Amino acid sequence: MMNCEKVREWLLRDLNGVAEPSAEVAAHLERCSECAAEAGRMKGLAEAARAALPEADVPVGFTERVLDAVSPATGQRALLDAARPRAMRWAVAASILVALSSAYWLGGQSARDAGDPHVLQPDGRWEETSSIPAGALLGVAPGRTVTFGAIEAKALRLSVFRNSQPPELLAGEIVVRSPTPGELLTPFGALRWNGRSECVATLTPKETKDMLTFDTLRKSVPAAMMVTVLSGSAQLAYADGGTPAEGKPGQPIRAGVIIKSEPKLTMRYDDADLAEVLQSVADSAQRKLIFRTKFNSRINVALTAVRWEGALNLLTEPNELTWSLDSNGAIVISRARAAKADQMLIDAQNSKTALEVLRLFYGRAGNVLLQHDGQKRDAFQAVQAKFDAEIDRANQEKVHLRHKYLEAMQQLKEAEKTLNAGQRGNGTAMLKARIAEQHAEITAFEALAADTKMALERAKRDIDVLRMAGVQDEWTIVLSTVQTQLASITKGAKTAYGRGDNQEGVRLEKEASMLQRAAKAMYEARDAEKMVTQMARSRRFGEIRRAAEAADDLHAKAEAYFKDLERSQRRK
Amino acid sequence: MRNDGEIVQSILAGRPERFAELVDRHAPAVFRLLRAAISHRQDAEDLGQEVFLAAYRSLARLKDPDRFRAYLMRIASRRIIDRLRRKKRRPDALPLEDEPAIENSELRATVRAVEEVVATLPAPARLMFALRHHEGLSCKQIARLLNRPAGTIHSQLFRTHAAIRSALEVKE
Repeated sequence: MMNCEKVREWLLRDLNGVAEPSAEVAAHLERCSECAAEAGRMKGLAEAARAALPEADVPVGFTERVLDAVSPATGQRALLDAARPRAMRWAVAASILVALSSAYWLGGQSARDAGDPHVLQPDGRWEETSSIPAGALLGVAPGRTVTFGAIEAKALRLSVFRNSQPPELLAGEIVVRSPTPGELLTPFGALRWNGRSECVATLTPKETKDMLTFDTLRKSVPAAMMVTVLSGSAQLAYADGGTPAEGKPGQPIRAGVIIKSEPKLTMRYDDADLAEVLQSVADSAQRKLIFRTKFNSRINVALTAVRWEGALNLLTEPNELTWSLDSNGAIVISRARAAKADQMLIDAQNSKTALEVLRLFYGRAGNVLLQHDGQKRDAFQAVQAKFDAEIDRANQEKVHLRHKYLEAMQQLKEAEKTLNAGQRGNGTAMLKARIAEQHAEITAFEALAADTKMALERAKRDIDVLRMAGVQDEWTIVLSTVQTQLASITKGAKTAYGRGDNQEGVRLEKEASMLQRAAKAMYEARDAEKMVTQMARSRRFGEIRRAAEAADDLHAKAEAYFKDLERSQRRK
Repeated sequence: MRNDGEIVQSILAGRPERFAELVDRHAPAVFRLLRAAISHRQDAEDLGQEVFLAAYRSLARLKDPDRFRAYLMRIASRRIIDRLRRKKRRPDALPLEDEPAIENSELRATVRAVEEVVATLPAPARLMFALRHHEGLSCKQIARLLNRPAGTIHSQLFRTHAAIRSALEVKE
């Protein structure tokens, strides 16, 4: 028969009633008013859960953009070609983007004088301009007011860089959209809009050590605001009559102009090796590519003006591959291996929790066995010895892996030091550094796997010990002792009253009452522990831990009552 | 209204413009999912476009065109998981949304509590939560979609729901 605990568990798991309750659950809900009330609350919770999730917010014109990409003009061929990104609609300056294939930074002093911003040309010349093309980043000093004269862009992305060489991204990205014409104040200054877009400013600070706020940045960090015109172009004017430069107008500026492009790829291959195609995508984007999985597929592909990430997605997904990005390149890995890695991380976390919980029992069961049961004690000690040997072996393996990991990290540091020492742009050295990093990561992963294995072994062994000991044994012993004691005190009290020694009778009665209170607490603790034992077979480790803690509290309470009793007996 | 299977067949028969019907029909669901897991609107929009393009490119390989929606959600989930894996070092914050227009004050408080708990969840757990409550998928369906054991989904959802329940109890 279903009990309340099981029904509550089912309610919590199901929450919004996706699954039909089983006949047993339904029957329980009919006869148990408390569980029925809980089911009602859960229904409210499910409603709140749906309301708490963000609403569907399909961007205006989304369907048209998808259809644009899936051009009917190319007929069935479009099934392969259909990967044109949405920005193409506004790609007034698309040709500039393709031409400018890397990022440039001018640290400032010699870049330009005060005046209109300059844009770095592909041949290295600076050209004065008041028009910022799509993809360009404009340096603006913190606290300065910038007004956009005319914005044809749908959105601007603001990021904050530290003025260093190369520039370091401190925080980004505020995407600003304006629903009505007017001025929008940002931590950096005012942005004036022509009212063609929406007005939401979202801030996703990049993870840094101190999670810098924009306010802090504005006050203390010599940072520059970078405005990326995501599409179209923007005309600039400076409301305060100054320049975007840090410092006074007329003085050399600290912030320069970055022109950054996302190269878009157009490629067509017939019966080509997938690895080679992926490599050519990475080459075009000037990214390193590392294969962690061997594969041997041949593909036909036709891509038109696709961002490199999109191209990797389109190429890897149908081949059961996936990729992940680090700061300098992409790692291609099989989907199954990536899923396995994710699963191992979850298992590692779960095993650690399981271990904590099971240790509680293990210690307790072990102690009882050592004290009360010779035959089981021997078996317990045998298992313990075997277990200790396993742990030793696993520890050695872990130490070895840790050592390898540190070695690999050291290699990586050295490689990066070499690079920083003046060999910037040396592709081979960079690749070596990246490979060293990959080795380090793989080793770290293996170390984690060893840790997981060890934790799982421990948990398995602890469960064996628990089974062998049987938690009930402990309670049977303790509670039967208490019962005997209680019977003896009660008998003593009766005898005292019988012989007319009322004082002794009262004292013993009080003692019996204290023992009863302690015994009650012991029973409660036993029930709590029984529940934990039942739960230990499930994998709800958070719940188990909480229940185990509750059982411990009850246990402590019982022990305190016993101590009270002992004190009272000592006083006598 | 024509069903998805018929539309897919007509696209494959040479009428790619009919893909618009599928986009109109399923974009809200795709965006609900994307916005639940990805805070950045622009990224969600880009990913949304990638999802539909990938679906379009694979139409010919679709074994059961009537199950286009399930197929689309699978692509969206995979893309989200991939993206989250790529951005592991940079956790996604929940989007800053306007206060939802909920008149019932008790429900509003509950929604706020749920939001607070959901905001603390790791992104994959948020995705599971969204698949369950927006899409109404069962644990088994989510497990298939995310290529994870059903037990993991079960326990994750249980933990999320229990956390929400506890948060409400504390508030009460």
